[in-house]
Amino acid sequence: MVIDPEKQERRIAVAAQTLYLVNLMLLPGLAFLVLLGLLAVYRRSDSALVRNHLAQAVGVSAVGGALIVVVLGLIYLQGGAGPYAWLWGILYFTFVHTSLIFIGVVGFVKALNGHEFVFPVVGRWFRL
Amino acid sequence: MKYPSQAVAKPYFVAAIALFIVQIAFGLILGMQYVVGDFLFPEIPFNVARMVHTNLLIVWLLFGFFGAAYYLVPEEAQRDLYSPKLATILFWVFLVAGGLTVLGYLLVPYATLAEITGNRFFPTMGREFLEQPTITKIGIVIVALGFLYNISMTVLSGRKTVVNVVLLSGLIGLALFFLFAFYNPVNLVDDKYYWWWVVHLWVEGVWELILGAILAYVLIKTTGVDREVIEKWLYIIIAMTLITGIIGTGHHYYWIGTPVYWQWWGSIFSALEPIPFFMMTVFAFNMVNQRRRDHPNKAAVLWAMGTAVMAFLGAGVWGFLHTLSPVNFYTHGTQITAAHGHMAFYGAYVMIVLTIISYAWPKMHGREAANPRAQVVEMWSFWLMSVSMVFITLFLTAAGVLQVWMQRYSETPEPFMVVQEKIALFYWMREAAGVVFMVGLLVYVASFFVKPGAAEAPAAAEAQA
Repeated sequence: MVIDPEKQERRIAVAAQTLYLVNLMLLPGLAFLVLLGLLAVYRRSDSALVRNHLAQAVGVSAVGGALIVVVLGLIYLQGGAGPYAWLWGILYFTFVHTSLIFIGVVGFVKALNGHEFVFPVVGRWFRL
Repeated sequence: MKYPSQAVAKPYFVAAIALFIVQIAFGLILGMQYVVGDFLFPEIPFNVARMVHTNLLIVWLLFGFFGAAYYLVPEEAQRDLYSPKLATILFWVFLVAGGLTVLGYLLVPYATLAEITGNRFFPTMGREFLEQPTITKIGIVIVALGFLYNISMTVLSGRKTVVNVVLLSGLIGLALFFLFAFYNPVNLVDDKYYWWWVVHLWVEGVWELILGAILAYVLIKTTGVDREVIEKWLYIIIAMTLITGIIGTGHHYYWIGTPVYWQWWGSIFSALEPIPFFMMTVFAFNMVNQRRRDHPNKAAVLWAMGTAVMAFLGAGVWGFLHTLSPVNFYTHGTQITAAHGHMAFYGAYVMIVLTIISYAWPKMHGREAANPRAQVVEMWSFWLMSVSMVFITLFLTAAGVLQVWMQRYSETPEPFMVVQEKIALFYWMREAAGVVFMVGLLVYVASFFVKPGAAEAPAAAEAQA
């Protein structure tokens, strides 16, 4: 069976963005490990599309994870488990987590259509 | 506008927006009563204001759905509406019945309203959201049946498209599930159990079909993407809606006296309920990304995209926040529920009605789109209303988290009213955001009256000709 290389590239890009979203919504951590596996296999791919989406998905997943874990940790250290710590924790988590999902949706749609995508603000740090 | 009969949607849209303004005015009164308890008392007590606020929401959304159906069904079916006259008669019946009911709420005590409308012969009143007198409920059924007859005859004798069939299925479901409003068993558990068949199976079931169909229609028209592609998305979205939403009803059965298995069924299926909303977001972004034409009605595209995003936020994210049974044990009936309710209704249903009005209104006036100046004003109203709704939701969530902690989670729980005093600051901020929402709504209304600029006027006249 001959696989259309363009289709194959798109498939890997979509897989990277899907794993980014799954990591946020369904299997945090586990999906990130699979994403790292995908990065290990395709990091030297000839396709700019594949490298772009892999770098973006892995990089922003890591930054997103850090944003959530570190800041929630700081809120906990500052306010213990009191009501205001919960208040800020829930509002902060919902805001950051949802923003990461929405931006991920844009990345996913770009991958579906074979376009490159750079996440806003932090995306430019990640290139392969 | 391809068929003259589509114009019957116009009064429905006008009534919807007029009632929307009244609904928000009562929302502001309610918001004030949260912090100034005797505001407008005894003229408009809190329970009456709340009843008017929630009932008007349902009524104006129904006006919007009916108007949407009258506009898009003929175009999809490629024929005129079966009976424009029936649509016009039903409009006036619905408007007069709705108006009289709201006047009844405001002018006489609720018990007197029950007495003078003969509730004792067939008692259905006194339940949240279903407070309407029995006679009004019968009126709603008559209007719904007449409407369904009109729409069905149009669909059945015309071209059958997925959009039309999904919309019709949603509307039939809407009428069918409303019938449970007439079932009023003595046993309170039974009563609540079937009450949710109206409330939940409307907003987390059949209404989502109506939402999906209208969104798909507007995206077909504004993006130029193949109908087949959009229809496939629509099929998957409505399948996920029904798979998750029907058994998801269980998240309302946790604490009303139903068997314990609902803790599991409710938690699992309602945790999956954000999926169709997430898919709707991907769907809308994907279709706009693949668009084959730049539609001049930028405002309608903005409303369509906004619907997908805000519905996911309000119904999906804020719904998930408190849907699992162990979490809901603490959060049910708190301001977290109110936060979810506000953003979900706005994101999913208010915005889809505004989307179809934004798309259809210029068409009904012989234009492809409103003039650019009017669209800019309309887009301002979009941002004012949407951002203020985000803030309303955030303030209510903050109030809710503190309420849960102080009133329910703490080892020394405090009484309800003591807690209400302590979270009053958030109610004030919610009220301020509500005022901005009202300003946004008035800006929206103003956008209909904005004339084209001097440079645009000749082009606009040409487009109209």
